[in-house]
Amino acid sequence: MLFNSYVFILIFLPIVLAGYFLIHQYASARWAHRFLLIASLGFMSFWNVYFAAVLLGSVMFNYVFGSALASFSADGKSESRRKGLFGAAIAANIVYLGFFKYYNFFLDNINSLFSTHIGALHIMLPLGISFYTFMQMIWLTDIYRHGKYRYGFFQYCLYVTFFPYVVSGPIAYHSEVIPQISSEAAGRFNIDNVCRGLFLFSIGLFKKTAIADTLAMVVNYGYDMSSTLTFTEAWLTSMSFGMQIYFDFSGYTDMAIGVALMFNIRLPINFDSPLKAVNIMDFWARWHLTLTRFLRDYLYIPLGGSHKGAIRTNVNIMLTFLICGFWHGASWLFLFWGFIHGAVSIFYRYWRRLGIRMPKPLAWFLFFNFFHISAIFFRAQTWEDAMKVFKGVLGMNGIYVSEKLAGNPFFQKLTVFGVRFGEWRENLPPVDAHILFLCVALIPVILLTKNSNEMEQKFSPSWKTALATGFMMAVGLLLLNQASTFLYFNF
Amino acid sequence: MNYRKWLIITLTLVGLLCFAVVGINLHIDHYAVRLALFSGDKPLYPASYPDGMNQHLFNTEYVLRDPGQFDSFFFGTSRIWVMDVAKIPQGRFYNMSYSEGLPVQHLAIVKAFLKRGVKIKNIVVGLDGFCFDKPPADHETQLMRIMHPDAGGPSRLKIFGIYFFRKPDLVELKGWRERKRNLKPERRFTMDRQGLVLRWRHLDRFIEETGKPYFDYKVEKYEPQTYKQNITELSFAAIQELIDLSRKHHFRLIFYISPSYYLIDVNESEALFKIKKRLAQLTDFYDFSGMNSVTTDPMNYYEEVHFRYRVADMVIKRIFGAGTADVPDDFGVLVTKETIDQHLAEQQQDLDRYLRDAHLK
Repeated sequence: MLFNSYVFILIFLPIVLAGYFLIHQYASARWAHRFLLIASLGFMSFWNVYFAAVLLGSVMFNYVFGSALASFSADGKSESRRKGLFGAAIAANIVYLGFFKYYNFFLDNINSLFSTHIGALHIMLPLGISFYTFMQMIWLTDIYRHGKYRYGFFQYCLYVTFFPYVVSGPIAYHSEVIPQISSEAAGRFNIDNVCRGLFLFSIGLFKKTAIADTLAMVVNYGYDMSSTLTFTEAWLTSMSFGMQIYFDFSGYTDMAIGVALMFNIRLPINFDSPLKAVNIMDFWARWHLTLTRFLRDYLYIPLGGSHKGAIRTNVNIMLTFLICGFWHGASWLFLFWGFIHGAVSIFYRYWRRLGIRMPKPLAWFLFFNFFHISAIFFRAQTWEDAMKVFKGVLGMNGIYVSEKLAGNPFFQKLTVFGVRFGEWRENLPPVDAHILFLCVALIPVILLTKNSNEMEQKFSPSWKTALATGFMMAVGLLLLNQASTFLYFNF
Repeated sequence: MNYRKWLIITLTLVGLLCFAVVGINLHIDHYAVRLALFSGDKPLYPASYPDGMNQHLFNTEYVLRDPGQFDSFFFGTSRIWVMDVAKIPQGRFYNMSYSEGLPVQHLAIVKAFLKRGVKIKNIVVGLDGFCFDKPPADHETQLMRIMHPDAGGPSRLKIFGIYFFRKPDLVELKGWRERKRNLKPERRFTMDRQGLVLRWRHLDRFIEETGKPYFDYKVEKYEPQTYKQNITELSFAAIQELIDLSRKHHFRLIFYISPSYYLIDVNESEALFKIKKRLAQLTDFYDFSGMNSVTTDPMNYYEEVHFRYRVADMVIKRIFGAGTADVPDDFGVLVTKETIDQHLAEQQQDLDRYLRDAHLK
């Protein structure tokens, strides 16, 4: 069940909200939590019962491991046994994730490397497995580190399976969610939170259906259907994807945070205007924040962070970004995308030491283009597709501009650089020009407007917000018939 | 404003906006879906729309509303729109053609007819290369081509959502304005009560008056094409099932290959030969395609794809011996399992000669 579907918005969400608060009021918190747990598993099963089964399997073994680890810590048993158990638990999670997500990737590579013919497994990638596996690894690590955080079984199950984030995050820490679930206030219907949640949800729905899905027309055609892309076509395709992934994923996150807020659960923010970033460090301090903090707290810092010398720091940065890339998908393209970001991060560390200050608009311009051009390797299904767009961006497939510009002296001068007049949108979808240039029109929007978290913080009930919410919600609902899945569901 | 009031106002606004949009879409009814499925017992004719209607839905609904009204049906793509089935004396015919009609869809509709008690006597199916290459799944998201709920399409509730619970389309609004002001009535998509589409009447007059073809088409290069294997298999499975149904339910089933403009078929010729060869193993069929005095004359076409009413009359005359059309001897050949090889050999010779003369090979 997608957030951007009638069945979720008009049936599932109202029923679960009403059921949760009514059970809380007339029965008990315990039964309300169980109801929410069943609803969350139902949400997952709506796609496929198998997804729910894989999720439950993961929850069960992690709970057993976590409880045992917590007992070991409480009993003060030997460090080596505790360490062994922790290592086994983390390894089990990696194997679990690896089996479902990376098995066929490794098999393909072994087959091509050793010319073997080992048959691939015909398994579907369980939805959300990358997210809930990381969330549970965090819990295990925290128990190991601090010797606390033991929770009741149903509490823990609800934390992991909670439907607003189970499929695509945010990767919320147990220490953020479980205390909220257990609090007295969680069960009380809070109209303030419902209104704020609805406000956020409508922003997310609008971002997804009105913006991201419109951009998808250009992106899908450029990447998947065109055999070649000229300069303008490639730039529009690449920029459109850069915008699409932001509006798609941040739209999803807004909806997730909004829905959770209706249940009185405040989730961590995931985006802080990332496309305003002026360099790569700035970007990663704004983009997919819950993944970034996980990688920082549970990978980069344990590896030694920046405290073990320059070479080791660079190795740690690169390793973190490679894992970040690989987490997104079992493909060399994702690894390469991670490598590019790692390499540029290392480069930026040295650049910063030079103390050269670049004008902010120039820094933004350079980084924005780096962001969407590097994303070519994130979006492309194959190396051929990636190179097709990349070569186009570099102008290797010709630079064409509209014949209407042939009389313009400025463009006439550009002909010495290879600019030609002709069909400049032959390999783009046959849609109105405003859709092709939507990616450009959105630049002032991302630079000059507040992000959804800032808007939510300043939210107050007024005619202005009511009209805006009503409009965005109505447009979102009316565009649902062309609904597509979220990009981050693939991860 | 307090939160409760805000919530009530916001939800009311959402409701009002959606309600207004649904109302507008229902009123415009660009694809004739309200008329077909959501207008109670209101008569479906006269049917006249600016840009075309969803005939997959409309035609099926029209027949199902009164299962005893028709007993014979002409199926096919938009090329068959011009078939004036009123001229066929055997049976009460309805022209069931619809844009991009595919054998799989014809089968689904025939099954729905049989299930709903339509007593079928004759079915004629017009085929062309398109039928073996176009994935039916493409139509599932095309408003012009979504199938009737009883013929494998979405439920009525879902159809209501798809057509009316969506943002208004400017092109549709423009079409509605033209309809209201009665602008360009001759270009409208109008059907008569037996499914004959009248929208090309004005072009007919234009061609007759000018004495010139309405289009110009050239073959630039000879690039033989192939049809998608999986779609071909799907279509042949549907054809076989139609044959089985005709035997089971004792109705007459006739297949024919449409008289496409010869040049438009040049690159598909070899792929089409294979289709014909395979079709002949299943059933006899009329072949109006290939090089003949009708298909090589651009005066017989509105554009490279659609043939004129007078050609349709010739097809009817050739198959049913009815009507007053003069049919050239070389137009329309009944092909059987025994004659297919000779027939294809002749068509191959025609193709080779054309390619040689046009310096394309």
